[in-house]
Amino acid sequence: MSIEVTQVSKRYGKVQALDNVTLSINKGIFGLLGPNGAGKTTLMRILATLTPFDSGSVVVNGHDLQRFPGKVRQSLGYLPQDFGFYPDLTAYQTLDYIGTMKNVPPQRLQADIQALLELVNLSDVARRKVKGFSGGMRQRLGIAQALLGDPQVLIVDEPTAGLDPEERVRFRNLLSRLSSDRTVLLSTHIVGDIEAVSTNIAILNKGRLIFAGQSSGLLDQAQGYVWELTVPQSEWEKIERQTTIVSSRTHGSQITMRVLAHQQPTPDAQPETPTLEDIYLAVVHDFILPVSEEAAAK
Amino acid sequence: MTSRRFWKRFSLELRFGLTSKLFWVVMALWTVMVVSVTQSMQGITAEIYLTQSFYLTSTVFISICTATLTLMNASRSRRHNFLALELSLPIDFEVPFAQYLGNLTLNLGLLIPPLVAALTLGPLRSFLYGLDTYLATQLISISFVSLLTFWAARRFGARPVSFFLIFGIWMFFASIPNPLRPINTSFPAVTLLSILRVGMDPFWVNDLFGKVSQGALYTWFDLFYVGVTVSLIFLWRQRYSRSQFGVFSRLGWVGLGIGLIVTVGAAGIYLNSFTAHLQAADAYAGALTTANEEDRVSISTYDLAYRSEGEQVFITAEMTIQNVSQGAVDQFLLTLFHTLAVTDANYPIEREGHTLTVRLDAPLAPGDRVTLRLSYEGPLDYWETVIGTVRRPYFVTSDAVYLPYYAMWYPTVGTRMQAHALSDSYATAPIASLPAQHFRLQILDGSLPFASNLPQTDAGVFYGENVTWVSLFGSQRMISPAQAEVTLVTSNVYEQKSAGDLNDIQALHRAYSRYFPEVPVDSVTALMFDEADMASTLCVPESGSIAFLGLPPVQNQVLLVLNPLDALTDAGPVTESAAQFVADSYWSQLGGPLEDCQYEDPTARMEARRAINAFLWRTAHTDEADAALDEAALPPLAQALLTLQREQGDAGVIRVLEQLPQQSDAFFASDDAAAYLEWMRGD
Ligand SMILES: Nc1ncnc2c1ncn2[C@@H]1O[C@H](COP(=O)(O)OP(=O)(O)OP(=O)(O)O)[C@@H](O)[C@H]1O
Ligand SMILES: [Mg+2]
Repeated sequence: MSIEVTQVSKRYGKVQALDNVTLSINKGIFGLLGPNGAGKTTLMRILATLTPFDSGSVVVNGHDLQRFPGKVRQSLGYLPQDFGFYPDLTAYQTLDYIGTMKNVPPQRLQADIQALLELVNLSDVARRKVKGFSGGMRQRLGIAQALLGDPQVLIVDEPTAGLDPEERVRFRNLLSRLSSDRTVLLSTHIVGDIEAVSTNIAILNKGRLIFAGQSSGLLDQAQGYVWELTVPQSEWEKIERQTTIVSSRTHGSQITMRVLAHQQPTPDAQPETPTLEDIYLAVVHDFILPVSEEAAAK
Repeated sequence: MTSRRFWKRFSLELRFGLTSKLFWVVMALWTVMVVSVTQSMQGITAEIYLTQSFYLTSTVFISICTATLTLMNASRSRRHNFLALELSLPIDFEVPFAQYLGNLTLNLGLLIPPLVAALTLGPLRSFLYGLDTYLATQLISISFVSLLTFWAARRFGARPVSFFLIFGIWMFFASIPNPLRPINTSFPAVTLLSILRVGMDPFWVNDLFGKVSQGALYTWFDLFYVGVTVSLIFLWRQRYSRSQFGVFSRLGWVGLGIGLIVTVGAAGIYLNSFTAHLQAADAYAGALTTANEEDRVSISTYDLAYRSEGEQVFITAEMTIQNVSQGAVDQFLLTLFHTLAVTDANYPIEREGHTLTVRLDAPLAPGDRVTLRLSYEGPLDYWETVIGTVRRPYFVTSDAVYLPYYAMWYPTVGTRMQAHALSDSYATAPIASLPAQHFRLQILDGSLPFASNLPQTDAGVFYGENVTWVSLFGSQRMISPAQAEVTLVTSNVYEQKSAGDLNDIQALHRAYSRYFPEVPVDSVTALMFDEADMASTLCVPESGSIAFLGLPPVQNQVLLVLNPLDALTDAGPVTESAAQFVADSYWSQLGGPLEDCQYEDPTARMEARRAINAFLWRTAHTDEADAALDEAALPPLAQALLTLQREQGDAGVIRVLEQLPQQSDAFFASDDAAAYLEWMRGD
């Protein structure tokens, strides 16, 4: 149960969607973080055997993905970022169809579907046509289909998009439970999702791997670069030039900011404990953190 | 194949298609079109014509729809983004195959319901006549189009390579030789013809190529449309993503729109180009109702007086009608070309197209005879246009008269179908096979020299007994040496050559009757047309000018017409290709293998035929200077036959000739006369 991505590159015309990405993903949850257009979906589609890549290699459970895509698919549950169902099938029929395609034994299929519908909270609407579903309901059905057939490798591309907070929490817990005996690759640009469930993360930006490893390692490396300071509103622009602003809130004429800076930006700036969110934003804003894969891996 | 996955995917595809509004719109539209076309058919022969055009149009239409629907289905799948999910499933060949079959079944919905609707609503006998061919063609067409489109879309997405693949494979498919009859037109010509097929005379397509090759032509035509549709898709293509069905939704609609316009336009052109044909077609109404009149009455004697003025023919006919049935006859049917109007008759006559109904004033008892006098007049000129060439099967002009036996220029018993719309065997149905005790034809018109297969007994009089067919030819440009059993009609341009050809033919003809004694001479045509025996020995390889051979014999006559267009029209010497065309088409009608003689045939069998020719020719010329011919220069097989003839006489030669056709090609490849002789002796 492992995925080895070695020096994978993928180019769409002028866009370098993935640039020499090397990753090792093992049992448990692996979080893939990155802003829009970072290449998360591209990487996941590659792992799901849907997109051919230009160079490099991918090995899933010991099978070379390019040579044995069929083998890879057999152990794969995939939730695409954008997907759809035949609108005239009911939720049950949809799962029945996909379960059949995944070769789930017929005698088990019905029970599996019931259990999964239960799991994603769709039992009540199992006999309704998919075309009447809300976005969140579709997403949950998508999750259910990915789990059909009890796949060893689960690839979910922004699974929590469109879910309400309660469902989101339910889903995180579900993923945690599932990851005990399988590999789960989860992509998102919502840092909170990953923070809650995953210790192994990778950050992609513009197709390049910025960081891969334990999130704790990453946090350690960012120690000493996060500051909180309060300045008059008039100084905003000056601070913005000197630092990378993570968040801010105004009160009266004063403004309190959380910033990233290599040195203490103002004399009264207080050092803060870094969060994943901080690091993520640093990446997005091209703030150079002195982290490397090797350092993080330690 | 019958696994759960298969059926799940199959029914899903079907269900998906059936929930598409487009499918129902197209089907409804097509049903309306089919029903309105079939219901507008008047008269059964008109049906034949329309059916032909309908078949053509329908193939095109259904192919376009099939391609479009297949793409549309893919595109809907894309719009609902279902494929994003499905592609990651561990599916193997059976799943796309099931999808294809589901798609195919859906597309059959374009074929079956409209047909059922049309057949339920109207009595369409002629429609039914070709139904098997139609269904087969459509099925092949639909399967093929949807397979190609489906496969290319699934495998390659909307890439240019799909287009070329569809194109290439389709071309290959379309050019597979017709197993029943070779397409006697070269490959690029077929392409061109098929592209120009809109507005072309569909009879001709049928006539020349026969049903199966017609299917190949259809395929070409479909290719054209699929090509247009697919190239449109690429023109409009903006983005490509492998394993996704790019941009089909909008393009599918555009393709469909253009397909519809082109098809409806093509159908319109077809139907319009039929106006003229339809007028003729109406004249043939009832032609399919074979009345078997031959069983009831026969015409035992004919006395015809023929005169023509310009394009007008004036004929007075006196015929003895005999009741050959068991019961009384009070009316009977005759066939006469529809433009010939009856001006006078001694019995009331009703006319419908080619068919005359003669009502006797009193019932004719079995065995009794009655004399029917009939005067009729009018133009007789029948044209068929083929791209670049004109075919004029029979005509009367001020310069030439060309009335072969099938021109319906004299009344015959029963109704005859003369529609080239059906396959050859029908077009050349037993037209005018008269068992007439005598046929007397008097020419009252001195302006042209005439020739006929009937012997000329007097100035301007042709007379024959036990006559089965009568042809009449007249032209200033024509010579007509009639010698012994062969009458030659040819152009004076080829006088020298024709005389030589005639000599050859006569020699062969005599040689034939000698070596096939059990075959009566007057059935020599039947012998000639049978490929299995040595029929084609009649082809003299050197005489490339034989354009038209083998009108059926009368008594012991063989009528040989060389270069008929040249001889009989004022168009001057026809081009080689026109003569070739006439030769090919007539020969294909008659089932003869003339092309083997026309083109250098390198096969050993062809050489063998030449050898036998040479032998026959040589033996037929024993008396004259030909005897001095260098025997060693003859082909080895001919030498062996000559030696055998000296040793064993004609009996030995006949025995060997009968066995020759069964020999292998390798046998004929030998050039060792001694070995042949040894084999002949040993046998
Ligand atoms: N089929 C495609 N054709 C062309 N370019 C593509 C295609 N798919 C992705 N790209 C480009 O590749 C880059 C990476 O896209 P990708 O979808 O992998 O990003 P992402 O990280 O999943 O973003 P998001 O968070 O918005 O889902 C983007 O610049 C995108 O425009
Ligand atoms: Mg994405």
